[in-house]
Amino acid sequence: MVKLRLENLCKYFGNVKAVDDISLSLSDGEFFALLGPSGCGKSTVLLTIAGIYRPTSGRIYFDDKVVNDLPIRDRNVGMVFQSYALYPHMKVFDNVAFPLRLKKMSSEDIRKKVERITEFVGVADLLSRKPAELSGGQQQRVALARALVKEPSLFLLDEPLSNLDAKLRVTMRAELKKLQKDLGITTIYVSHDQVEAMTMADRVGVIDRGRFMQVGSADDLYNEPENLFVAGFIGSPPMNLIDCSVTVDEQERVLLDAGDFKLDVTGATADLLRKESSAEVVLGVRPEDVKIQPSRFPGSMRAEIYVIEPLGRETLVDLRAGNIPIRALTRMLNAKMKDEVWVDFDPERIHVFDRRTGKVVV
Amino acid sequence: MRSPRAVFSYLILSALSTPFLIMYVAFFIQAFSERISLGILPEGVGISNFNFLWRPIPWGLERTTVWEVLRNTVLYAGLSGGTVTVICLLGGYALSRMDFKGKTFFLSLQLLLHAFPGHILLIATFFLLLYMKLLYTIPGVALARASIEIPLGIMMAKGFFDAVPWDLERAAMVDGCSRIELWSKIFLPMIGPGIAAVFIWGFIFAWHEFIYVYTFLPGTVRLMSTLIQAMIATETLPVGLLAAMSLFYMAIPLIFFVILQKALLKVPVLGGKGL
Repeated sequence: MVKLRLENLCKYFGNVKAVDDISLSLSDGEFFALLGPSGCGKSTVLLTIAGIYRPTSGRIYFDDKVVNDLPIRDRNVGMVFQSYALYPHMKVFDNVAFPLRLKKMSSEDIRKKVERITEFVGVADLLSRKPAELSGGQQQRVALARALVKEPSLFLLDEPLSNLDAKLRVTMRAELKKLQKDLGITTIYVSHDQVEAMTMADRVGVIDRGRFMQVGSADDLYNEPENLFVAGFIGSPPMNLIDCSVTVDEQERVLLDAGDFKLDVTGATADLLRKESSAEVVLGVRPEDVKIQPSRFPGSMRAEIYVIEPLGRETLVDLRAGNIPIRALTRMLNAKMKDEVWVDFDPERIHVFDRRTGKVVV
Repeated sequence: MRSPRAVFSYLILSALSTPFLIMYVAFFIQAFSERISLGILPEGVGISNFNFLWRPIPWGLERTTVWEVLRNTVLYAGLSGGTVTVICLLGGYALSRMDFKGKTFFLSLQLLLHAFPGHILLIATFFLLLYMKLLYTIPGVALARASIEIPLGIMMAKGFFDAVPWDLERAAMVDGCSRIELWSKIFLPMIGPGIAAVFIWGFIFAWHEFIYVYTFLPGTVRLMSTLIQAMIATETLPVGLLAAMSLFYMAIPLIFFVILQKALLKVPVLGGKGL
């Protein structure tokens, strides 16, 4: 178990800044997710921590010891790859035993450890098969076994569930989380799937183009996004993001003017916005915070149903207020396409972002 | 009913292959005929031309059995093929997976070297072998011949190494492999057909080599190619014997190929999905 710390880590490939000034501090046994879109640099961070890439600048600490120059084999890291990277010419037993054989352990010790770890992940009866004879889920478990057999102090996973079918993914998510808690290994999990990151990790770091956009717990990221990127990335279905300008009218009422509608803002939010009069902002409101009623109610505005997407548990409604698209999530709706409805946003739950910098204002 | 297009293609291909077919068939016929009259017409069917397989060869002052010659030839070709394989597998890995100054120059150099006809360097190679004390020895010829095939062999090997996925290498590195262990335990097993291909490359070119063998081996040591040349150099051309011996000369690598066919066709299936 190790305390990992990254200090201003940078990794450039020529002119491409794959990782640009990443700093992070993990506690012992923490499950940390690196979340971001494809190509944002999250895998590069992982590979640099493992030692496969050397940092261009910055430092990596394992328990307060700088490990930038430590060879890979001395870092005691276990890694699972998206493609599992099992050795095709070796049987499952040999695949899992490989790290131990390289350490020149005795055959007896190796056999015991391999049997124990494969029992733990559930592939104990597949030891004499070759990787090509296994299903995707089985291969993934073998990859897990191989990474864990040497009892690493740091566990790195690079999108390990991406190649599994949806149902298996859900099961494996829970299993991986339990496994991590049972073993207590400091873990870094790279993913582009925010559901995975949010459900499994203690903390999530959202990365875009090599930089951290926000680091925090799933709740923090969901309820208090610090910028437009995080707001739009976290949450499924995604947050509604509507361009507006802040206006203060003669009665000192604060309004968010989106062109096709004006939203009345009250309370603490209004006080904060009052200073930003005529600022160009982006209003963010999550679909579940949009209130829909079939008839007019105080404070509501008119909208037309564009598409209804039933999800079983709830219904996703695509609305148009004038030309502005609004997504809403509601429990039950007895309406059809092109119906007229009335919507309002929960004032406690709206977010306002500066349009230019993307940073949150409220 | 074949389309006229297909028929036309077959006609063209047949026309082009006819000379080669004639040659091979002629060889075959001549090898198995008792006598050849007028230099090309076969008469009678028999295997007397294959006497050399069980009797010492009746020419000149020396008496040697073809088996000894064959043994030497296999030794020489094997040594040459082996040298090519070892050097190209090591070099190919370095070119594929390591970064060093002058790498691009080195790669271009290999292509250039391959285009260069090595036989022009006959005299220089002669002196080189002389100073290395390898002249007139089988290892010497093997080494000289191997050096001609190494440039392209390295490029071939590099191609095979390139095909191994990066993730596999990374996983092995995290598991604790050193460079050499990576090469021997991960890459080599994965490019099995590649190794066979490189070896065959070196072996075959060495097998049918004449000039180097003729120049760098003394007249007393005969390999198959120089043996056949010696046949031709006599006053009467024993066509039947020549054909028989040539068939014998061809047969060995052919059998070799057939055996290695299985190894060549086995492609390693990757140990993971999505690649």
